[in-house]
Amino acid sequence: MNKKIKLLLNILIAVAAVAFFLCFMVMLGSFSYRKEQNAKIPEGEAMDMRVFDYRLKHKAYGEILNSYFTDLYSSMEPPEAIAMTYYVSDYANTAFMRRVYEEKKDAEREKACREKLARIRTTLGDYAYTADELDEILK
Amino acid sequence: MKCTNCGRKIGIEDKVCPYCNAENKLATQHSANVEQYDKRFKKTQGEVESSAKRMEGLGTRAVILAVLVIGILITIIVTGWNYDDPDPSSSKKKDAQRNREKYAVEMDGYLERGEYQEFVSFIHSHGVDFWEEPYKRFQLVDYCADYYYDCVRHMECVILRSTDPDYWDSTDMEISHFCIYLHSFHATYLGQKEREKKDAYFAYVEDMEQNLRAMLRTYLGMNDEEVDSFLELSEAKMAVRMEEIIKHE
Repeated sequence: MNKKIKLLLNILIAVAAVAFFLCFMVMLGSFSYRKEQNAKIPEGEAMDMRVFDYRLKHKAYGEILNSYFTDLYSSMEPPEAIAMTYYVSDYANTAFMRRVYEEKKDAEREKACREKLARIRTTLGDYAYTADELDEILK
Repeated sequence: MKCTNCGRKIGIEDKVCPYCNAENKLATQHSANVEQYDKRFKKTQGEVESSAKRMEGLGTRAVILAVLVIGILITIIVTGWNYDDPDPSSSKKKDAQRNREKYAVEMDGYLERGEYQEFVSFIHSHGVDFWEEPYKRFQLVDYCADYYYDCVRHMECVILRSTDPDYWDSTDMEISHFCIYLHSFHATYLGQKEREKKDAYFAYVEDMEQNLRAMLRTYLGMNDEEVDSFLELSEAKMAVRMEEIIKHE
């Protein structure tokens, strides 16, 4: 009886050892997958900034806003690496809406837009010229 | 113990009393008992030893097997973590459920301030589900705000399009999208306006309608009558009219 149990345990150990080896190899593969996935995020953000700069070069603010409105569905807070795309887009959207409120004679909201525009302008840094361009387009 | 004859103190193994020579019957019994216990002890010892010999190695094997099984479980869990691409929408939904009272107050705040685009962004970025309380009350206003959001979005795309001839011109597509959403918004607005019992948030829908009218006046140079007749057009005719204005055809 005990010999049979020992034999059974030996077989189970052999099967478990093979299974462990296979699982271990799959686990090693999963680490490289995770590494690739993590690397994709900064790559994507770098690509977003390149596209943003390309669009700015062509003054394609409409395209920039289109991406911004899609991004807002994921996060209202600007992701650090592409924060500037949010600031420029927010400026464009606020400047656009300011004129709408002006036409609507909604002084309160128009004032709020003016204050917001002044606030965003201070965050634009090297991209401050975009605010001037947008003001020029929307005047 | 004491001698049953003389009553003096004697040892349990003394077969006769050293003082009166009387026979100690308990000593004989004791000796027989000890012999019997000794036999039983040896028998049990033998059984234990042979059983231990039979079981030898089973414990070690069981431990090895247990370690391997734990190792397999750990590798499966770690592999699962690494391959798991969490579904952001499900965690957002849980978050929206946990903070439902707080988020509903924030949503009311956006509406009160007329920040309809922020309202829509908030809803989408927080995975708010309108089939659950306390979000149910926002159903209609969200429906309209979604259209409003897209109207503003596509109008901005048209007005702020690149004028660079080397850049892809998506104006026609944006005009088409704008007209679809404007038509849908206006139809929903009119449907609500004609109802006797209005939605609690209808005032915000009306405000959105006013904003869109102001947007048409500002960026398409229409007057109130032109806006009215523009809103009565079909989506396709709206798009044609808008293209004429935008491209000065």
